[in-house]
Parts: sequence; C-alpha cells; structure tokens
Amino acid sequence: MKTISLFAIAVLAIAANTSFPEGEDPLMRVKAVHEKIRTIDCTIEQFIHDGGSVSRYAGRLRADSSGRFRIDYREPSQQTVVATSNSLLWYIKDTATLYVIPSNNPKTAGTSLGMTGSFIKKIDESMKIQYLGTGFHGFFTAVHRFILLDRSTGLKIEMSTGIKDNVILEKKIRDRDGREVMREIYGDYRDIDSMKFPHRVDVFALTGRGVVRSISKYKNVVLNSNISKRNFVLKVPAKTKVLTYGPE
Amino acid sequence: MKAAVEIIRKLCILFLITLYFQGTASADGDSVIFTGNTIDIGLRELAKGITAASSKRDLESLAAAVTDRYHKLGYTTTMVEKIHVRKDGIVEIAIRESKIAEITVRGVSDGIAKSICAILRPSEGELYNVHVLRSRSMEVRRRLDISSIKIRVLNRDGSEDVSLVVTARRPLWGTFRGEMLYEPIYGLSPFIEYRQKMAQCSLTLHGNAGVRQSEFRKKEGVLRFSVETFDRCQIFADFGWTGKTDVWESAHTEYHERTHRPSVGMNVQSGGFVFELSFVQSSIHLRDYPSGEDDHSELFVKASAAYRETDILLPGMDGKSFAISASSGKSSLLEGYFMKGEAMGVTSWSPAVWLTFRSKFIGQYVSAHERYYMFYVFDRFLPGFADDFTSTTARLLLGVESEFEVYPDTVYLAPLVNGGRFRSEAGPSWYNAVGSGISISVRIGTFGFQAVYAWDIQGNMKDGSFLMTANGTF
Repeated sequence: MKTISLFAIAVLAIAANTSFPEGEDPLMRVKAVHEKIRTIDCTIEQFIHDGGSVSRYAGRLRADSSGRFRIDYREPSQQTVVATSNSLLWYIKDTATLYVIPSNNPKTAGTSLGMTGSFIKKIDESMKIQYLGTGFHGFFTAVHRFILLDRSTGLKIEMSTGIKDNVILEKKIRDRDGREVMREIYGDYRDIDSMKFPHRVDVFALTGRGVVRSISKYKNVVLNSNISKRNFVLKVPAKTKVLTYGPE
Repeated sequence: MKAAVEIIRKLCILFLITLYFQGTASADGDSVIFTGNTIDIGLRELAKGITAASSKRDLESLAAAVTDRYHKLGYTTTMVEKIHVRKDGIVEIAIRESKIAEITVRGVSDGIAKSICAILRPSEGELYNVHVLRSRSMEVRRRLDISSIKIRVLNRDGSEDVSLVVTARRPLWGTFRGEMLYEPIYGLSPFIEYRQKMAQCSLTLHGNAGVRQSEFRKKEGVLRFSVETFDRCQIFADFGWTGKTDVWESAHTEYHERTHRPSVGMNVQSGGFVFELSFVQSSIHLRDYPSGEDDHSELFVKASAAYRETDILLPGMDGKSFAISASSGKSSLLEGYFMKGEAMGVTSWSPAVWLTFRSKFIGQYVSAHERYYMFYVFDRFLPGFADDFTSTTARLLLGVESEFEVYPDTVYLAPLVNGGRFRSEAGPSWYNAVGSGISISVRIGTFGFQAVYAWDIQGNMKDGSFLMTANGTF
C-alpha cells in the first residue's frame, strides 16, 4: 500500500509540475539534440493510406540542416523530388514531367522534409511558447508538454518531448478554430553515432476527403556524412514538360 | 490536368509533416504606430529598431514585412498602404485591411444561399482570409450537404474590400447510411437511413428490421422533419412506428407489440454537445401479453444530452463520448408515473499508434416493474450469452477492449471483456455476468465490418455467439 501511495504521489508530482526545473529549459535541450544532426542519408519507405487505397514509395533520401532535401524514388517509378529554398520540384521520368510547386503557394508553403529539424529551427524565430509541465506519453514515458503558437501562421502546436532523451515524440497541430488538423507521431528512435533518430513517423492529416495517413520508415541511416551541394540541384532532360502548381 | 492535381496532392501528403510551417523574425517595436489595423497579429514585433531616423530602405522593408505577415496569415488582400514619419517623430504605418463586402451565391436556392452567406461571413465587416474561408467552405459542405463549392474573389472598384462570388452545387440525392447487424435479441437486423437537407429544414427517414429464425422479430420506421430556427437550434416532429416480438423470461413465452409514436421537440448543438427535449405520445397495442391483449397509451417527456469530441483528428484513438437521457411520464400499463434513465460513455486511449485501449460504460434504470419497459441484459453490448433473454429494471455494464492495428488503417483485432451487474427480473436480487471475446474489424473509407465472437467467461468457449456489423455511408 505504501509503495502504491508513493507511486501515486510521484505520478501526481510529475503531472502537476508546470515550471521548468531551475536553470533548465527543456526546449533548448531538445533543440540541442536535434542540432547535432547536420545531414541525413538513408533509404526511405513511405505509405499513403487514403480512403482504403495504399500507395507505396521507396527510395533514397538525402537532406541537410538548411532544409534542403532530395529523394530519388525507385518505386512506384523513377522519380526525383528536390526541395530548394523557394520551391519543391518533382520530376517523373516515365512521363518526362517536372512539377514545380512555388513556396508562395499557401497550400504548400514551407513544404519540407518530414523530420523535426526544420521545425525546431523555427521555434526561436516565430513561435510563442507555453510550457504546460510534465506528463506521460504512450506507455508511461515521462514527457515535457508545450504549446507553441506559430505567429506567422496562427496555428497552435501541442508538442510532447521525452524527458530522458530530449526528442520530439508527438505533435498535434490545431487550426485557428482549435480543431486538430494534423498529428505527427515520431517513433522507433534509435541511437546512431550517439544521436537519437526516429526511424518511423506516422502523420495523420485532415484533408477534404477525410483523414489521410502517411507512414514514413527510415533505414540504413547515416548521419552527418558529407553531402555535396550538387545533390540539391535537379537536372532534367531538355524536352521535359514543366507544370507549375501556382497559388490559388 | 486531373492526374496532375492528383500527383500534386500525393506529393503534398508525402511531405505534409511540416506543411504548415513558415518562419518569420520576431522582435519588439518602439516609436512606431500602426493605423487601419483591427486585428492583433503581432505587428509590433516586426518593428524592432525602427525609428524616425531609419533609412527609407529599412522602412520599405518593414512595410513589406507587415504585408508579408498579413499574407502568410491568410489575409492575402490586405496590405500596407503608406509608411511615413510624422512631425512628432513617430513612424506611422497605414494598413489597408480588406473586408468581405458582398457575397453572391449561385447555383442553389435563395434559402440555401442565405445559409451559405451566414456560414462564410458570420458577421458584417469580417476581413477576407483565405485560410478561414477555406475552413468555412468545408463547414458549408458538411452542414448544408453541398457537393461542390467554388469561390471567386473579386476586387471592388475604388475600395480595398472584396466581393465573393460563390458557385455551389447540391447533390440531387441526400445521404444514405446503411448498416447490417447480427445481434443476439432480434437477429439479422438491416438498418437504412436517408437524410435530405433543404434550405432551413431536413427530412430523415430511417427503417430497421430484425429477422431471427426465419421470421420478422422487429420492424421499425421513423420519419423526422426538422426546421432550423436559429443557428444550431432545431425544432422537429417525429412519427415512429414499431412492430416487435419480444420475449418474457424465456424464448417460449413471446408477446407482440405494435406502437405508433408521434413526438415533437427541439435540439440545440453547441461545440460537441447536443441537447434534446421531446414530448412523446404513444399508442401501444399488445398481443399475447401476460396481462392480456389490450390497447394502451403513454405520454412522457424525454430530455437528453450527448457529447462527442469534435475538435480531435482521431476520435477512434483518443476520443471520448457520452450520452445521458432521462424520461418520465404516465402510461395506462402502469399505475402512476414511471421514470427511465440511461447513460452511456466511451473513452479511448492510444499509447502507441498500433494499440488503442477502449472502455465503455452503460447504466440503465427504469422504475416500472412491467416487462414492456424493461431492458434486455444480454444485448449487443453484452454479447456471448446466446438465447438468454433475461430482462431487468437496472443494469450497469463495463467493457474494456484492447485494439491492435494488424494492417495500417484497415484491419484491427481486439480482445475484449464485458462485465454486467443487473437486477433480477423477478425481484430485488442482483446478479453478475462477465463475457469475453475477440473482435476483428475491417475499415475501408466510409465502410466498415466488424465480427465479434464472445462467450460467458464461466461457461464453455464453444457455447459463445457471434455479433456482426457491416456499415457504410454513400
């Protein structure tokens, strides 16, 4: 009984704690953990579950901390996606077509790699942070909870980060009306050269057709290798048809 | 072009994790005032370091940053009109905010057009915001059964405001919802519902039946006509008809009932809550009833409240819902008044993306010791007790299941346990019953199938029973 009481008190103490431990800013520690990762080179497998249909994409991903990335898909066909500072380029070899999505399209602005790094970088710049205290996530993993208000988009992000590992475990994104529009669950964190890296990211997003889910799995991950800048330049054959997906 | 749009959509989904994020610098402002702005979007933060002595280039950059912030927030027609240094040394930034001045709706009746306008622009003088408008157009589709909505934004001559030209289309048919259930009491039970929304009113028709041992055990139909009186408040009139064969303690003692049940009432929706109040007058014809064949009538009032979390993305994983109702009235079957209360709740908790724990509770009570008013104990909520038609005046049921995702978003497997405590049909004694089982579910889009095999935990597993449900919306 005494053990149960002590456990209950400990649980309540963790749950009720809504201020940072003195001299510690958990968000900064999360940031420090993520800033260790400068480049990522890995194989990627993505599944899109959309109203009963499943699409599978597989290929190689290379990314750097500036937000640039390149994915060379082998499946379902040879395709290359490159994110530059002002657009997202998608080249489909079979149809010799290049889709260009400018970053000023409100629907796709800021599209970048499904990693936490680019998000973490923006916390300092444009987000108002509210610390909610500690709590539990999943199978009783102790977490810090935050609400981040993105002043530049008006969206509210509820974020849980692991107390032990200082990694992001979950983000819930709410629109201005408070309705949850997206949920990201980061899992299967593994140590790579003493750095924590999620090997699976599940994303649920509200779309016009209902909730769409994507599952991204990362394998053969190499962190902080040298990735040439040339990888982030997309070269396409001369007769490629270019289609721009402009702002609405 | 359609293929291109689909490809782009896929791309957006593939990279949607950080779809919503964009960064801008933040800072504190001083010696700067903003005029013409009516909303707080943190503009002062952009003006850090700006003073009357700032260069023209810095001032222009500030104007661009302010316009950019409006645009990123969705106010794409709002802009900085002028930036200048006043005689008192304060930098004034004049903003031209753009309002929705007028909405013209085409393609639907005047009544629906009025409803669309009310949703798109709930109050006069609202600023034009592309994100807000997109979210409201989804609400229009959802609330008014609009199959497609296109919005054109036009500048109004000589003004910073905009006009919206909305082209909406409604489907010819309303929404069908169907379900096929195999449950312990009434057997194979098809259910179908058709709902047709009109401008300020809607018509709902639903019917269900139960077929067991090759005969109809239940036939039921309800017609509801409801009128929206003001925002999210409806008054309604129902007419229900039921023909059922129920059992008295054992399957061999059956009685038949035929009920006509007109009612009127109102309901109010607020957030995830729905409150409903109705007045019901029933005429009941009973045959083979222990007290003899007879016609009866009842009059009662019913109040109910239901809550369902509406602002979460995955209610199946971490949603909560509950419903509570109480009714009281007088019946010629009884001496005096009766009271009936029911409560039901479901809560889900998902510690991992592949596992969801779900618990439910049901509580039911009726003051009338008359079979017609009692509840079955072993219904679809407490399966596993085949051919047991025990009824009760009070029942408390708790159930827990752990649902494993076997194949993402499609196939789920769930061991489950349900425990019930109920009062004896004959007297004041209380009894317990526990059933365990396993459920397999398949969900594809708006269609779902679930099969449950359950058995009495104190009995033999092979003596259990099946419960099956298939449902869909189209």
